[in-house]
Amino acid sequence: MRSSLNLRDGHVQKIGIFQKLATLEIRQDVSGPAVVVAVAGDIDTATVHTLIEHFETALDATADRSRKLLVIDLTNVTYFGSAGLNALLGCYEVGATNGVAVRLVADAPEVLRPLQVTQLDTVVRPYPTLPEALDSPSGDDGG
Amino acid sequence: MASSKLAASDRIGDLGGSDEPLNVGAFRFWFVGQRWEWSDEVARMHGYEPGTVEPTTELLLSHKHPDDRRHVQELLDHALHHGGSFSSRHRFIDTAGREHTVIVLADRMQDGNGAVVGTEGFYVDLTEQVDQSRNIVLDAVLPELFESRAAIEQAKGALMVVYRIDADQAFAMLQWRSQETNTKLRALAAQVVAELDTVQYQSDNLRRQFDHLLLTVHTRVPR
Repeated sequence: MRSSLNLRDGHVQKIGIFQKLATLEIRQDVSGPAVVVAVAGDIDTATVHTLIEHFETALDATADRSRKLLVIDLTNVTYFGSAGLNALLGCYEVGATNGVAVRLVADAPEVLRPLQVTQLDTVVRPYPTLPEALDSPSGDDGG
Repeated sequence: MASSKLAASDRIGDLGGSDEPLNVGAFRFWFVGQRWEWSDEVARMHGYEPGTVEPTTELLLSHKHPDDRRHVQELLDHALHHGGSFSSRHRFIDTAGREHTVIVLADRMQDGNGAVVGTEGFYVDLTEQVDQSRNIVLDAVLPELFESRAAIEQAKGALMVVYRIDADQAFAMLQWRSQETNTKLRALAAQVVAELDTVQYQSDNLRRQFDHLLLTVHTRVPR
């Protein structure tokens, strides 16, 4: 089961040229051993609300499964600011409250740098690839 | 006479230029929780009486200039990706519908463990122009201050290039730092000029563009 959504924020300037559109693409995949939410594009204040909704849906979907693991794959994220950080932290905390392990996949500096400078990578540990996040044994989820 | 003259030059802080100080306010932004703090000045810039409103991401969205795609918060997210202090021009619309242009000067805010927890800095509102006519009067009354103008003009020129502001705004920024730090304007300006070569920047592109400007500028001078 996959759901896909494009969110576009932008408008026509007075001079009639389209501004660069911020595009966020979110795919949820529940066919594998864990629920995977793959995100591509810019996570900013204009797009983050859609992302949060998808996180909530994914957390619900994960809670019903035997292996309560939700993997958030930010490999293809091109902008990641404080709005994205807060969405990620919120998802992690709700998961922790409900017994769902939330793991992060990220290897681009665009995502890793904000996690490192805020030292939030000690809370949400980034895995470099999706297979590593999926295969890592339970109890390896920091905290 | 002599004493009153001295007092006058002291009072205006070396070529004060205006009774209206530059409109500057402080802010803090915490990344986690996306929490804001405004000084009274920043609240007033946005059109609110201090203490009547709590700045939030959503509130600031309502002040976003319609032609700007990025929220001011994304501007401050700079500190998540790059080290050091930074400055950027930013526009917003106040509650009366008036457009403000500000320079946001900001730096990382860190906790005791060195974790970057947010951004703190100043909004310098460029909307209110320094009263130019007062400069002219002062120049006539206080000729002994002329020589200090060279350093001030040089520092203004540097600020104009770096921040892409006009001469009045550059003067207002120097004046702000002078007042904020209780430092004589001419001494501050002279020190800025003395330290210009300590500033690291990507100079090649700027120099190339300026080469072109300098070598062709005579063709654009009206004769």
